[in-house]
Amino acid sequence: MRNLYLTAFLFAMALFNTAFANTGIALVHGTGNPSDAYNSYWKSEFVESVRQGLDNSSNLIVVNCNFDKYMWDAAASGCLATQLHDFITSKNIDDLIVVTHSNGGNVMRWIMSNPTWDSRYPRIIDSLRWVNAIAPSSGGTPLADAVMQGNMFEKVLGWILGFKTDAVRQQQEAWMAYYNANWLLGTGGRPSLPKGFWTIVGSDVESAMWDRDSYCGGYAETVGLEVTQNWLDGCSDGFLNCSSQNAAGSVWFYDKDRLRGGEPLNHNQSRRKCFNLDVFIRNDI
Amino acid sequence: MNKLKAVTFASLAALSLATVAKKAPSDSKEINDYLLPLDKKAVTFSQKLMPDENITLGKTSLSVSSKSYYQTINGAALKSGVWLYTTAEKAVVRITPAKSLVNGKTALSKTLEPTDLVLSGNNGEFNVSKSGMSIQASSQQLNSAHPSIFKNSSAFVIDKSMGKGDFLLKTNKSIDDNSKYLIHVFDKNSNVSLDLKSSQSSFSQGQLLRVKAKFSGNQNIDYAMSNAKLISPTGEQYDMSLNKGKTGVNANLKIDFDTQRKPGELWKVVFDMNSDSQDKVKRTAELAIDIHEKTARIAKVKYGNSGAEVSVNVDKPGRYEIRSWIFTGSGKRMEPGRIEYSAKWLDEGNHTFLVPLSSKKGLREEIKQLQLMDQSRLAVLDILEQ
Repeated sequence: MRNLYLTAFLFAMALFNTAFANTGIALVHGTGNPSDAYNSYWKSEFVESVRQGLDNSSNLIVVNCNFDKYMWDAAASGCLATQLHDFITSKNIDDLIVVTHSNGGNVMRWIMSNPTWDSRYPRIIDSLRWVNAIAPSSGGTPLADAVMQGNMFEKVLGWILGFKTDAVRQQQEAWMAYYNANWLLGTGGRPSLPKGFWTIVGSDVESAMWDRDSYCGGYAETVGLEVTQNWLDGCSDGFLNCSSQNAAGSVWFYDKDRLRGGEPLNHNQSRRKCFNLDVFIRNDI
Repeated sequence: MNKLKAVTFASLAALSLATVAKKAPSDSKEINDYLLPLDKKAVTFSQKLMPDENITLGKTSLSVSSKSYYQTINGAALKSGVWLYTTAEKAVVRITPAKSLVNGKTALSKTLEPTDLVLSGNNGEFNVSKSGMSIQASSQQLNSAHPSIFKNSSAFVIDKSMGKGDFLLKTNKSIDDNSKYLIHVFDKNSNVSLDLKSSQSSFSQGQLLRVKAKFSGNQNIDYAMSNAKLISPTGEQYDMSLNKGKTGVNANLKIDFDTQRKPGELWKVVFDMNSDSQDKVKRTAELAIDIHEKTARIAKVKYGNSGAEVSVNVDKPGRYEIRSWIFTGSGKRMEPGRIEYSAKWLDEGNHTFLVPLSSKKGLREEIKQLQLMDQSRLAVLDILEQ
């Protein structure tokens, strides 16, 4: 009975904290080095739709960092920590929701899994309510494997297939298996992350020419992702297998279970205003 | 899963003690490419665990499974024809031009499109673009899907009507004999995979690296046509000796060479294996492992009234972390309680980390696992199970 009272008390405290907290939201992009992720990565329609869920509409930040680098690099997690820390400090945010896409989930998970790496990390973790990770590449992707396999280094030629970015190397499945087992939390057999890591899983690519839903986010991109599905499982979004997307944290929902018309989200659509994805993110605030 | 449930536990975690020490320890001038420029402040953090968390303790093993293989060929071979081996229908084939030396100069070989390729098998000869191959992807399509990944590559899926088995792939395009291509065959629908396993994921100098490999099913290995090698992050290759095991094969290598690498970059063990069966199976599998320099070690753990003192011997200055996995219980049953993290900059010599443990009556706390991490070089140096 005592435990019941304690749980009820903590639950009430949590609700109280959430209700009276200063809530902020950060959008964290995936692989790449954007200087204007608002327009180039997410697009304004998505960001502005999500912003409507905030009491104070200025409490939103769109992060711009170099995620072509390894997740532990100062240009990646160091940059993300700087932008998140400055955001919560300058705006007195004590209830931070972080929304990540793709490899952005790995960089955020690096911060959450290695709290002593940087003296700013504990403050960021303590301010977090949770992370909503859209299509995170937690288990890597066979596409990174495909492009790295056989890419030998020869003294005269250098890398015979050309140099691949650190982020591509990092997202090989075997590399992510190592990092998940040693440096990252939240996957099977590992301790949980210090705060929730809720995943939205994209499970298919639909590219029928007559279906207007195939055009959301761009038809050419959708067709390209349908092609690259050949290297992936039946359940995949054109870049990641579902097993990679749900490898860490807890599943919030699969695309077809919640989105408008039971539509699947391909890897490009999962960062765009497609099939009410933005509404789910907004209402979660 | 209910997010509100998680809020409750998130609040518990928010009660965690996170402190930042005021003073940074002494500087070291041994900063180089192999040392990350990390914060020198000491930081501690305490993370609550759920009692029912299913946590695996001890050294971590790694495994990988592959249904694909790749090979590098030159232009002359591709013009006369190169054999592809599949064990199931609808294999996916990708062709990527590589750099080569042409007339003494480095050049990227010409891109080959599906229209440039002819595939022949038991059911005849087909131009890849006209045969009804179920999917043909031009280099432009693949590049637009993932520019950073599939630049210049083209691909096709072998049409179901062509079945499985051996195929001859050749090009009629005029390409230089010395040009170079990577052919990658993904036998996606096959039930035969090459499985690799290592009982540990992290190695240091002087240790023996051992990786087991076997085909799934009843495929036997053709030892004369198989090999394994270790490849460093910068491309140096080391041949591994193969020994027949009870099931499959073991590849071994004593690590007695320079193990310097950029922090976090992994080495890979690559197996190229062929079966000795009539229906030839060919597979390449790659396992990523860490090989690092042993820069520090846990020397001693001493328990006192308020916790444990962990002594660490440091050979090279850097930022080090002790991660303590603490289980709690009141009787015999112990459950996950929390993780205590403590990191600080340490110079060469002997140092101590203090791990706080509860001294409350009736509540027992035990350190089930201790980890020593070199944050500056990204290496897991010690894992001690208590």
